[in-house]
Amino acid sequence: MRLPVEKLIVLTQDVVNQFRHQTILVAGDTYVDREIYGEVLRLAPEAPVPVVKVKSKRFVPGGAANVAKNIALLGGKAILCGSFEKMEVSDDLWQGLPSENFSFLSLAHRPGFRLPERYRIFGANQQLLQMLSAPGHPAATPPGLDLESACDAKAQVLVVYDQGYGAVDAELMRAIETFRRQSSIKVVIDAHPQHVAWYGAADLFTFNADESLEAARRLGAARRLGARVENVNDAGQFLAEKLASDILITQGGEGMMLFDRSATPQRIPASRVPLADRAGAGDSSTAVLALCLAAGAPLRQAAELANKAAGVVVAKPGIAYVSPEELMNLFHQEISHLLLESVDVKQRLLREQLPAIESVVRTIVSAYHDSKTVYAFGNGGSAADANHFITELVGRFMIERKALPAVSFSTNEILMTSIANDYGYDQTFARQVDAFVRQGDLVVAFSTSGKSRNVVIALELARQKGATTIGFTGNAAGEFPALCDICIRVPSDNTPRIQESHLAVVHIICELLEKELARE
Amino acid sequence: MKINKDRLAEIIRAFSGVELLVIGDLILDSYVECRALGVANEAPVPLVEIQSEKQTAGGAGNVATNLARLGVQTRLVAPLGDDRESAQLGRILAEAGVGFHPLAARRPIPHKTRIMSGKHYYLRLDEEQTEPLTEEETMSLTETIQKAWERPAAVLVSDYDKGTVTSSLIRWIESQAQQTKLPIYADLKPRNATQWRNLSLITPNLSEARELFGKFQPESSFPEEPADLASALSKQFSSPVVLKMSEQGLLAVDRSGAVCRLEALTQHPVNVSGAGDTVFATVSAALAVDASLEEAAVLANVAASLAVVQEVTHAVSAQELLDAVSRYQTV
Repeated sequence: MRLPVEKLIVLTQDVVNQFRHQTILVAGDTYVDREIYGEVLRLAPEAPVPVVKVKSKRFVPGGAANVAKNIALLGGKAILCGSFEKMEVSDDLWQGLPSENFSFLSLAHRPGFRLPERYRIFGANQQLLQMLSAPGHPAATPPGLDLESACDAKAQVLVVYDQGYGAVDAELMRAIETFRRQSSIKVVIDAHPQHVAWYGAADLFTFNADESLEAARRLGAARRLGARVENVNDAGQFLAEKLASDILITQGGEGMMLFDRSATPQRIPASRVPLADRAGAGDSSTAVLALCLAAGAPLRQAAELANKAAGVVVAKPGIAYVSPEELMNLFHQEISHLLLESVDVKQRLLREQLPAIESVVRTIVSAYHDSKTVYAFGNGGSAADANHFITELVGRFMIERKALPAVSFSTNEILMTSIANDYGYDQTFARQVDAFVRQGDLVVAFSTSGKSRNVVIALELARQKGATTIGFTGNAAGEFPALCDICIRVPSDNTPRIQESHLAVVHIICELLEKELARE
Repeated sequence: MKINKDRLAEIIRAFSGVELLVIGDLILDSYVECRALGVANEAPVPLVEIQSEKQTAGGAGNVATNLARLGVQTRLVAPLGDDRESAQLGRILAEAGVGFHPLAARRPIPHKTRIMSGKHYYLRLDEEQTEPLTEEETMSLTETIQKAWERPAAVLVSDYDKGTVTSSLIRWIESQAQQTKLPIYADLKPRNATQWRNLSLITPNLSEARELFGKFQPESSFPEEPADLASALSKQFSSPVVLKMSEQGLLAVDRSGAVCRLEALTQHPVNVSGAGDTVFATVSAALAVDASLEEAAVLANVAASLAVVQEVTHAVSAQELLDAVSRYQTV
């Protein structure tokens, strides 16, 4: 099922739920990934190098087969296009392939073909060595793409996995370009820099950082730009233009850079997770990208989710996989993390700010006894907090009582824009303080940094005019402690967490204030 | 010490007229030659690409290969699995001209893989299952040995502590040898060594000799002097001893207690793996054609010097040994 563009799905949950309706073709280099786990108890008698006593071995499909396996494990339907037939593939590889959601599109038969192999040797869960089989195993003739069968598969995305092992050649790439033109299939190419001249336009190319630089060099970036391409940013922009495609450059621990032709380059930072190793992270990331694009997710979202999937995989040692549940949980985890962060700030508030809150309540009660007015202001989210506060005072909070005189300086956009236009933005609140505030009135300022110019200037003037000043700010507090008679200082440096606490304090003040006034 | 070169040549030429039976643990030794590509993307470890792979027979397989290269008619009896490595080892032994009588066993053979790049050695992978053979398997093994036992001049036991040589096998070989009045030459790891009663040669290296000494006299510390250590073991086993001291050469003690010490002939060994098997095979072959212990040790010392200058485990041929002996400086 392909969603129309106007119904772009945004929520991750929705995207992940769509995975099971997607079909992805995967073509390119397949190899056998062999992991050898052992323990190192001594050095070799012949030389001071470790003797790894083998405890277990694991064989997993590598390259295109592993991308396909990732897709199947994520719930999508994976079709591996290969030049092998069942009997020719090593039994080890066969055992590693999933039984569900997985099928083959068998291509030209290549007798004598031996799958390339990659070994990873671990001693006590630490990788010691990586060993590749020599190139030259792949038969001289790479497979073509059987367009008819590929069309029949009704796939939404075709992934081309090119590691330079010989399965991808110019002819295959021409066939894929034709296929893309003639159907609505999206093509994602996990590119090999040495083959970059063979690639036509695709929907997305992925490179790692080094590959992107080499690819840009090979496509003549130096001639075009008049200088050697030395950074990923230049390489990405050049490749996006030259290949007429979106480009995603993976940068390991630094995350990803997305070169979407319709937007400026975007950085997607890596998840902060304890790193085991990067084995398998690229394949999982490619699989998630393909599934997201198939499900109609915007590129940026696809890249972000792929990046998060890679974060799950790098936390596991050896070649690892990510399940749809883990992707869902990832977001639950993130949500609970944020909620707990908010809880934590409020707990610190409880320990540190009780006297300040009590003192604000007393001050407001006595100001109203003296028939004074409360004025409040702030910028942006803080303006909303100021308005919220004033609303609770003029209207009512929880119980019926008389209206209280309170005014927000952040509400009147005609006044604000007029002052800003004539006197500059710094004067937006000070001018209003000048117009309304009398001696003994209460001025309540909201600024998470304590540094907003227009707020600070207004506080200075309010003091000159003999008003009592109350500040709502964060841990840093800026100039508030010097300018405010009472300062509610939320012990956090994170703006949203500070604002959430400001609102909580506003509600507490209103509730206590109302109780005090109701008693009279 | 006076050694006659002509006498040594005569001994070597006699090798082809004798048959020896080898029993013991097989090992497959792999040498994977790689090219360094740099550092892997996903972890800061070396990334290498395999250029070539060479496999040789190790353990009893290397002893048998050495014997065959020396011209001895060699029969080898050992358990062999049905895995890829076992099949490969069978081919290697056939190519080496060893008369191999495998006992079909279920477990894979021990496999040591050395990963290197030129002279740089990265690591060694050891894969092995070393539980002792069951009684039933030992019975089958003795049947296989009996079939291979035609007219050997001696029985060689190469025990690498990989499970082939069990107590009941030791008893069986000793009684069989006694009946046929054949000598048993043994290259043993210490674990089962104390069970042997009737050996005619042992060839431990220094650390094995110390461990063996400890098995017999757990109370006393081993003699510092290698000659004393070898003499003590010779008395203990009532057997001649050839002590392998790697760069310090060989030390032979015969039944009368006479000690003969031979300096190593190569000061710059390239690869010492398998050299111990070469010594064991050469001494055994020489003794089997009625050489004196001293003559046998001299030949083995020359053979070892030829083996250790090769990059991979090397079995010395009769011709190589003849050539080297003709150049040999007698002292």
